[in-house]
Amino acid sequence: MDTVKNFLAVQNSITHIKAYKKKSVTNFFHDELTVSKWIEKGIFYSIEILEVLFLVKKKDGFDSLFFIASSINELQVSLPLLVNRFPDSIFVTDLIVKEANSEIISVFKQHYFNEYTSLVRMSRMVSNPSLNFELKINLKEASINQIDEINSLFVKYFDPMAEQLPNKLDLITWVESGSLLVYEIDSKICGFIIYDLNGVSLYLRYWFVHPDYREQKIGSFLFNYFLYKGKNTKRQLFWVIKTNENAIKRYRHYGFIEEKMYNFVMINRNKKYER
Amino acid sequence: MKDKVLKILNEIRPEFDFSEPVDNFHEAGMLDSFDIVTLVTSLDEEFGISIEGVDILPENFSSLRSIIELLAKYIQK
Repeated sequence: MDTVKNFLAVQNSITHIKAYKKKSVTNFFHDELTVSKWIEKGIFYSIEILEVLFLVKKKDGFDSLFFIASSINELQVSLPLLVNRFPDSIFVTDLIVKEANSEIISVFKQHYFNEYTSLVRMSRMVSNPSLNFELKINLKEASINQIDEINSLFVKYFDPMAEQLPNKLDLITWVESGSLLVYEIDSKICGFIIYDLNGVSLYLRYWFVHPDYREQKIGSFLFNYFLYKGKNTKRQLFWVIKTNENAIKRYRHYGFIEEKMYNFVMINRNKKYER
Repeated sequence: MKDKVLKILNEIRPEFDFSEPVDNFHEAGMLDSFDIVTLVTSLDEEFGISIEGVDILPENFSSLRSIIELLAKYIQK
C-alpha cells in the first residue's frame, strides 16, 4: 500500500474510478479537513486493485477500510484480492446502507467478513421551544483540563471498532464550543454527553455514564438535557446498536423512530462486539 | 433541471423543504456527508454524467443554485 500524500491524490483516484460509469459504490464520506489530518499524521494509505480504490486508515490494532468501486461487481472481484494480499491485516469497515439486506453487505460476508455489530439511526422531527429543563449543579460544560480524564474514559469503556472514537483535538473542539457536558459528583466525571448542533439538526455524538454510577438516573438526566438543547432545532438524531431493544423502546417513548439508515460494522475476523 | 434536482433532494431527505431559500444545506443541517455522496450518485445517474472527485466538495452542494451550476458545467462538457 502507498501512503497518501495529499487530498488531491484521493480526489483524482475517485475521478478515475467513477469514470468507468458503472454505477460506482463507496463507503467513503469523509471531508477534506478530516482526511488531511490523517494524511499529515502519515496513517492514511491507498491501493488500487482493478477497478476499486481501497483507502486504509491505520489505527491501533486494526485498519479502517474504505472503498470506492466502479461497481458492486468489481468490488466483489477486488475485495478477496485485497484480503488475500494482506492476510495479517484486521480490516474493519463501516457500511452505511438504506436497507438491512443490502447487496453490499452480502459481498463482504461472502469474502471473509463478519458482522461485528450494526447500528440504526434514530431521529425525530420535533421543535419544542417552550421545553423546560431543571439544571443541576452537577452538570457543567467540560473544561480543557478535563480532556485527559474524558479521553481515558473513552479508551477504557468504548470499543474503537464499534464506534468512531474522538481524538484529543476533537474533544478540545467540543469543549471550546460548549457542546461537551460532564456530570460530576465530588469533582469526578460520572457521565458526559457530546452533541453537534448543525443548523436545524442536533446530533447526539456520545452519551456515557460511568458503570459505578448507573441506575441513578444520570443517563436520563443527560439525555433530557440533549432534548432540551434541541428544543429550537427541527431534527434530533443519533445512532443506536440495532440489537439494543431496550434502548430503542426507550427512545421510541421520546418520539424517536428508526430511519432506514443502517451502519453495519464488518470485520475480517471471527469477532463480535460485546456490550 | 431544477425540478429534477429538487425531486432527488426530496427523495434523500423528505423531511426538509429544499425549495425554500437556504444559504447552505450543509450548514443548515439539512444534508450531511453521507447525503452528499448519495446525492452525487443520484445526479450521476439522472443526468448521465460522472461528477469528478475534485468537485465532490460540500460547497458544490450547498444550495440549489450551486448544484445547478455544477451540473451545467458537466452537461456542457
